[in-house]
Amino acid sequence: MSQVEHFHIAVIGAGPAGLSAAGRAAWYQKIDGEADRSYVLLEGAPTIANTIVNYQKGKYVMAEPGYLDLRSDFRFSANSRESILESWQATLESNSLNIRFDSKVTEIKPEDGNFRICIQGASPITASFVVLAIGSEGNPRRLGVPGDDLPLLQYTLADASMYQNETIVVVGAGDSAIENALALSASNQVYILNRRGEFSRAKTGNLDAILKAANDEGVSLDCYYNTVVEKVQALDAAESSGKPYKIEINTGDGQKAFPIDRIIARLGSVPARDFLEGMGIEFASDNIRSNPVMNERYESSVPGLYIIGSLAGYPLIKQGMNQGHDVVSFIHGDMIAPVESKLLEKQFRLLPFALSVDQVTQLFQQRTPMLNEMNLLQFRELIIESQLLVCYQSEEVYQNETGRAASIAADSTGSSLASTRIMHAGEFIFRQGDFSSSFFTIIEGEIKLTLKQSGQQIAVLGRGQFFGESGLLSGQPRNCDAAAVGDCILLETPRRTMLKLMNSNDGVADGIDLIFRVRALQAKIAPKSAFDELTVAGFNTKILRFRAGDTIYKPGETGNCLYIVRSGAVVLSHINHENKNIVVGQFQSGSVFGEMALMGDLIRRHYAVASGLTEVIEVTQEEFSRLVRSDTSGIEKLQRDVSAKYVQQNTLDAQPEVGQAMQFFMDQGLGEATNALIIDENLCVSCDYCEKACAETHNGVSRLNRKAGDRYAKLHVPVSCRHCQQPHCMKDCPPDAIHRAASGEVFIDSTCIGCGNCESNCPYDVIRMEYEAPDKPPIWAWLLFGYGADVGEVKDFQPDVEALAKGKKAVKCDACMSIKTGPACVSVCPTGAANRITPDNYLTYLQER
Amino acid sequence: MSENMLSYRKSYYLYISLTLILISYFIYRSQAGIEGSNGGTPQGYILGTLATVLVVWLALLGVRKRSFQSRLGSVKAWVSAHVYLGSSLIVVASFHSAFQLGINIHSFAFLLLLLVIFSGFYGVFAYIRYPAKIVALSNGRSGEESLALLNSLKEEIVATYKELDSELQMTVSSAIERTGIAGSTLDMLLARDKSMMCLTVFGTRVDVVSNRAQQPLIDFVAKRIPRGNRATEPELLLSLLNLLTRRQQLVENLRVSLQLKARMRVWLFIHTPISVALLVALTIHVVSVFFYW
Repeated sequence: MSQVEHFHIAVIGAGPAGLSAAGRAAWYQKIDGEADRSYVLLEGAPTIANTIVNYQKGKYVMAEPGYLDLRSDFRFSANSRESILESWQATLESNSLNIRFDSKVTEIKPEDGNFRICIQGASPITASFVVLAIGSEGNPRRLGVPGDDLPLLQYTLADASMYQNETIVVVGAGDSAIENALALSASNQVYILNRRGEFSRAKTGNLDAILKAANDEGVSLDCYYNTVVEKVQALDAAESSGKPYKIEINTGDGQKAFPIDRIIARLGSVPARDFLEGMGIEFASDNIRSNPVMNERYESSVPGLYIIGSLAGYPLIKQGMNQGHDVVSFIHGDMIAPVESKLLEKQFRLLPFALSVDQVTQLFQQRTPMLNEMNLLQFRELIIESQLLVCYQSEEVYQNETGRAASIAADSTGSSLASTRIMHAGEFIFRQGDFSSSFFTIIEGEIKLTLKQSGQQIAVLGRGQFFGESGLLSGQPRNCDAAAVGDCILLETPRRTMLKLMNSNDGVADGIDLIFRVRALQAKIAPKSAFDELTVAGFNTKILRFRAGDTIYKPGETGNCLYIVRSGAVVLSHINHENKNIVVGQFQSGSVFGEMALMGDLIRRHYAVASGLTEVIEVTQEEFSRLVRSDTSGIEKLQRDVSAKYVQQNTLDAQPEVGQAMQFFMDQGLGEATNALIIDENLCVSCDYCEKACAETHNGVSRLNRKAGDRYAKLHVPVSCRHCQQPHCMKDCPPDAIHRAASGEVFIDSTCIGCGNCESNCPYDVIRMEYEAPDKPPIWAWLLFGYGADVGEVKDFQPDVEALAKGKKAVKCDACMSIKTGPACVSVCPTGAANRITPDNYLTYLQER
Repeated sequence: MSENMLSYRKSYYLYISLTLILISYFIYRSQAGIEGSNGGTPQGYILGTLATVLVVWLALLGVRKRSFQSRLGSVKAWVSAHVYLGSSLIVVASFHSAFQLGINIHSFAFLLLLLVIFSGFYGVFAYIRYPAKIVALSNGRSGEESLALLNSLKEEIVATYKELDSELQMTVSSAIERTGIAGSTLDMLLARDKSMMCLTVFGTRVDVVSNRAQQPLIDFVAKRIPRGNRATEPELLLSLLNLLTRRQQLVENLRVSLQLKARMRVWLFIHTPISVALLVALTIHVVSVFFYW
């Protein structure tokens, strides 16, 4: 038996992170050949950086986050896809990196203190250390039929125009399958094979397009439903069809075979997680979004196996490259300080401590019991992404510190990271009604939470406690004012960082969850109960999750609990005497419903249905009774609210058209909106000035499509952002470019890298990917001489060279947050047909029409 | 009922306009002396200035609706004020003229003013009446959806007539091809129907005849039902007839809504240019009266 090839380090995956790791390994080999410095870089594909190779031609790749320096033997800065790939290829060649292409790793197994790495189509190798940098996309799901290893099968489509006059089968029912099929059908005969009876996973736009194309005899595209591929085989060159392959399919009505040129399989991907768990790598939790458990040196729960890049939860190119560099240094015993240390140093300069960066970090972690479990890597990241707030009681110290802050700010140019903010004690950290969703941890001092109207104090919180969880979890505006009592240090963590942490750390998630429940019980049921008692009650409540359309309870059931909406919205309806479903109430997060069953009427009289993804806290009769018995101060308000609800429900029942219009709003997803554009068709004169105003106030590109959108009873919900409570678009934004302003507007900042995630995540199709529009000549030039164009977006405008180089960016409505008079679409409407409405005003709006 | 430009803020600007008219009346009535009422008295000048300021302000609506960052109130409020204050101009300008009209530039300006105001009245009428009518015609569909429906009806009709004889096929397909909905601006404004179809006469000659409101086509198909050649034909013809009547309804609704939409636009092509002409005439009027001094 031949000797198995052995390396000190095996890097798997030649993306940015893997390349950087191999580059550093090569550097060590060059400067220090004494010890074992051998390495190999294994790549499953025939080229480097596949994800980037698959970007569209000429795409401008961004280098976010801007504040982070690059530390790698490979160069990287914002540039076109081609230049970046070229530069990496050149570095790869000039350093003669030990890279093996077409080496797909199928298994990694610990063996005698080493790792045994099996490679498809090659002999296995062993390595002392493994660096996994395979990205998070996972491997495409294969067809899994005889012949699926033939070269006619491909899993991506870079450029549809490369294929002409071919017969192509596209397999899949998702958006990518549909988009590919449509693009190819322009100059090929295309068949799209759907395993199911309909395209239920596709976005509406794609669904309409594919159905239209399939029914249009002029388009060479046919759909097969309930159809699976059975076999693919190569044909003889002499075959009469002239096609190189034959496909056999089962259409449900029977088998069928025909000659083809190509198959494009878009069946999604096998999650990378399965592969990792197969190796024994532990994940932080069962949550689908959680990341592998790692220490601060990127080492996973399997000693010697390191994970970097997007697989480790760092989706940005620069982060991955830095990690590649650092991880190899760590393996070789160089415990270098990460690039982030410099950032921390900057951040800590305004703290009233004379301590080193490491000492401060340690101190922070000691003082916050909930965050104690995090590893240093996560904790450091948490602090970097957070802002420090330092509040001073003494005016003198405050003046001194603000002076110091100003001089530091003047010195440090180029860093765009939010740094430390100096505040007066007593100055509001947030106000009731603000839409901010960041999360606060108290490092030192005390915070007072009060109600804005009455000034009534809700709670005083001390060191190690946290607040702001309500805005974080419910997406609703802040429900109280917060201010420091005396000298105080706070850590303000943005929503996204916090959600990432909660997904990867069950302890943190549970802690925040419990306090949310406790504070909800306090606010809604027993305002004066002792904290301990509320905590016990909080433990006994349950969080229930519902999807849009799920029924929470039905008429006739005996009610034995009440619910507090945590996020999303709930609609109450019943069948009236005319057998029509009438909406009689809608509840946004923070509201109580179902309490009627605990106060008099035991029988449920309505359907309670979730409108959008909804979470509710269930409080049982038992807990409720216990709480109101020990603290009767809240019961009066609850009873008053119940009476008011009865009145409202009966009023709505008497106005079925309002209830039905409300149902239409809910069907449109307006339950999860915070601010929705509604057009009253009785008034709309189709002048399109709303769209024109939108384009004019947003660099020539409209974010509103008036003509589109559904209509009901002379109400029209045009395609325009409704600024969701929990914005879908924010979910996967790699540079964290989507934010929510304190006044509620969800907007995209200039760090957008144009990846299109938000566009595909938005269920309401309100985000467009667009080039910057060129400047127009002044309007008077058009009015007087017909030169240029009227106000509004120029249809099919030609982007200039600069805009083309920048590439398409995501654009969406920002509710004109920079304009004092509010949304231009509304203020410019000549007839008052267009209005932006908040959920608490839906009812009034519908009733007053 | 939805608040429209007349009922905006409980018709606040109506009361402003009525007050303005009342004040103008007192100014007008206060004229005395040898000259009596006249544009040239001090009161006449006051009324003239008032009217001029109003005209200029009314014209500024065109600027306001294009100033998207403006903080001078919503366009909705401007429009409501525009309508009421514009209407009051009839009275204010009449008082200014003291009803002395003749064939001169001054009366010409007054004439233009009236044209602008009355075209505006039509605009108000159209803006208030037509949107609801158009929605009612569209049956809750967007324009695109209506066209898609028209297209799918056409496909169903084609699929149905394919099984019928060639004469019928020719007539129905020619009628579909030659259905006119939009046409020129004038056609749209008058809801003029130029639909045609081909009809076989005397068994051989093919004539192109009018298919107004799609009725001749429907009658043609209906006439065939009791005269079928095959047993299966009546059923096919009946479903064809059903499709054609549905299509007729849709086509006619589309035509009327296009007409209403055209009417909502067309008045602005009178209102705006005459406003500009009025501004010019007004300038001449103002400059020329200085020579009377």
